Amino acid sequence: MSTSSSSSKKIVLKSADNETFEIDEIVALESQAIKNMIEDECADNVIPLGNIDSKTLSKIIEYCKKHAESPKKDDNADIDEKAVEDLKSFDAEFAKVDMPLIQDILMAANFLNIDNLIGLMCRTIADRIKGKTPEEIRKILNINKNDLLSPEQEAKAREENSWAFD
Amino acid sequence: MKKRNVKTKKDTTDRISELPECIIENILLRLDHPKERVRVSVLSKKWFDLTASLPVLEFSSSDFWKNCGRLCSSDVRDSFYKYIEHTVSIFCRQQNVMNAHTFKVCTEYWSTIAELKIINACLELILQKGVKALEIMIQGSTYRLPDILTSASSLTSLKVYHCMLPSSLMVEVANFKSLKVLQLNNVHLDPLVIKHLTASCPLLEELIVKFCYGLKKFCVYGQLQNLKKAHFFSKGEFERIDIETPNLCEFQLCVGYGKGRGATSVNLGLCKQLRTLCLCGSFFPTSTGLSDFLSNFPILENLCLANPCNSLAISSPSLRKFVLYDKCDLEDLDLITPNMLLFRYANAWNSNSEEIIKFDSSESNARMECHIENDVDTLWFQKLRRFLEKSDRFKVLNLHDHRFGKISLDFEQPKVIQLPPYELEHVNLEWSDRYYEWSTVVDAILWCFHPRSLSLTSNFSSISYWKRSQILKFISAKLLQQEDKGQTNIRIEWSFPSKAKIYFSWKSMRPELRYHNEQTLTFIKEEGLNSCQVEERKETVKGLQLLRLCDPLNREILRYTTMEVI
Repeated sequence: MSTSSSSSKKIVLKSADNETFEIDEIVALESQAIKNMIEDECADNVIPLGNIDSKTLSKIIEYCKKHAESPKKDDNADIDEKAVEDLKSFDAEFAKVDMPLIQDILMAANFLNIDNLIGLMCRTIADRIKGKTPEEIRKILNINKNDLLSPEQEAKAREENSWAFD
Repeated sequence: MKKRNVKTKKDTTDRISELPECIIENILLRLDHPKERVRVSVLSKKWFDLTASLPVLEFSSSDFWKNCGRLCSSDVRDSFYKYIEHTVSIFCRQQNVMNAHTFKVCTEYWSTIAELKIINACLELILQKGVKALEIMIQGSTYRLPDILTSASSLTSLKVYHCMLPSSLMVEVANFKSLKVLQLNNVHLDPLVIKHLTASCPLLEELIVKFCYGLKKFCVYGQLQNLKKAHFFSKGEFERIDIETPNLCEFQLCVGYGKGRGATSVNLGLCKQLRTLCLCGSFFPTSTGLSDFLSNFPILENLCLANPCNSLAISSPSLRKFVLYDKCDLEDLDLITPNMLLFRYANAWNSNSEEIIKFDSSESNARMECHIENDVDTLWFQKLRRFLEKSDRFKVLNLHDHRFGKISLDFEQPKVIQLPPYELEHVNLEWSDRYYEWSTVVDAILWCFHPRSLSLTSNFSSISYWKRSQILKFISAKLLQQEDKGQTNIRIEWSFPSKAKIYFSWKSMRPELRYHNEQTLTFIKEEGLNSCQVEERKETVKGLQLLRLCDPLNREILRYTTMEVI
């Protein structure tokens, strides 16, 4: 998949639907989980990711590529503000996807342990449920109907903080 | 693995709730308004439990007030305290929660006794839950923190604003054995309390005391061995500060700024690790006293002084950044600082100055930054020129006009001796909205300095096209006057500086870049005729080579400006 022709070390990721993605090692290192695997030398040439489909995986690789090539904040205090702005607008664009995909990305990012991406997805979810009623949020997040509070419990909870529900 | 299941279940499963709890906590913490948190708490049992056991409990009356506009003020108050009481009691009833992480209460208006009782009860409950970070601000009322606070051995950070400390601190030492950060603002402190406090927190790394009263002395001998950062701000007099602790890296002391000469004695003799020092106020009657004091710190890198003395001699091989706020004349300033990168000088102290104390990062070029806070005249510019020549270190000069000082220039003044302009790499002029004086200041700069390039940063969008083209013409002509005729061209660049003062040319800019009001116009002298090959079209008029710029956002303006000059 990658068109990069540099001689840096490559890592191949294999999605649940058996699609392979060849990426630079530096991009893969954005994932703490893969980084640990590589450091512990328990990563083969191909890393199978049996719980991530190719659509989600290609999104995640897009994110890691961008973040891997941007200068890191703690490297150097004199960081180019333009690069920071650039990364911010990339993140904002990146998050413009539907809720099922956000949830897929979040699950995968959690599995791969990519802190920034977990934060970005959580922030996106938080932004999308702001100002909504509980009924609307249940729909947005597909909240499990078997796990609802009993009507009495819910009525009591709403009563105790009635100011939040008007 | 279970990819089929993943696919088919996709749109019907509540996958968020399947994620580890820390992910939902992460989402909850990003819902900053309490209203949002309360609303998601009723989504399902899972969300109810997680909201109830969220270990970060923060209550701020001003945050609460936002978005509660429809309620009348007494209802909002009522709801606020009920919300605190309810959230804390439900949290403390959670069986699975061992510790509270953060507890923060900020009220910005007067509280009734009943309301204070609620806060007190919640605080006592939460202290039993081993809270780590505590922040209490109770404005407008007299509130004394409960004695139980002094046995909070789990605390790592304690911030108290506008409250009274527990009365038991008057008689005994507290058990703050984990405390690393202590911040006290507008708190009454007396010598006994300080004595007990300093003996209470052996691990303390950061101590910030601002505008506390009742305190005239702060002396630490042999305690607070881990202290790295200490700040003391006091409006009134302060007699004495003695800190003998080997690990102190940063020390800031501001005493009654702007007021008369106090007689605060400062002793940091053993703090050999000090890297950042900020002294605002008068602590040394003579320049020698200050020099002797500074010679205690062999690795000092950042120094800020406000109103130190009439003359100043600083000699430090380690110093890299020096900020000076003073009426102290540049003529009476002697710097022997071979590694200095930044010298920021403001000719008076004003209320905005606190902002500029920050030692931000900078480019690697040694530069001097002048903030014009007070009136300046021709003589001042001449002194600046002499200072730069004498220090022979700074090749970049930034001048900031803050609208506070008046600039009056008279080049015919008899006492001004004309010296040849001093060579500099770059001069940058940051200009507020006083356009009527810009030509005078450019004149003064070029009268004193001979820069390779000059830039003007201002809000150009608020001035007319005509005025802009005047600026272009005037500055280009003035810069060319300094050079041999026919040899030099001026290249002009528009750029959009960020606050971090990073210049980039319009050429490398992407079309999606946001429009900034503040722009920089840079004039760069270039030798020879073929030096600029980058632009699409060039025109030369009387040695002035001008580039036709096309800025995607500002096309018309630039074209107009260019036309005018041609």
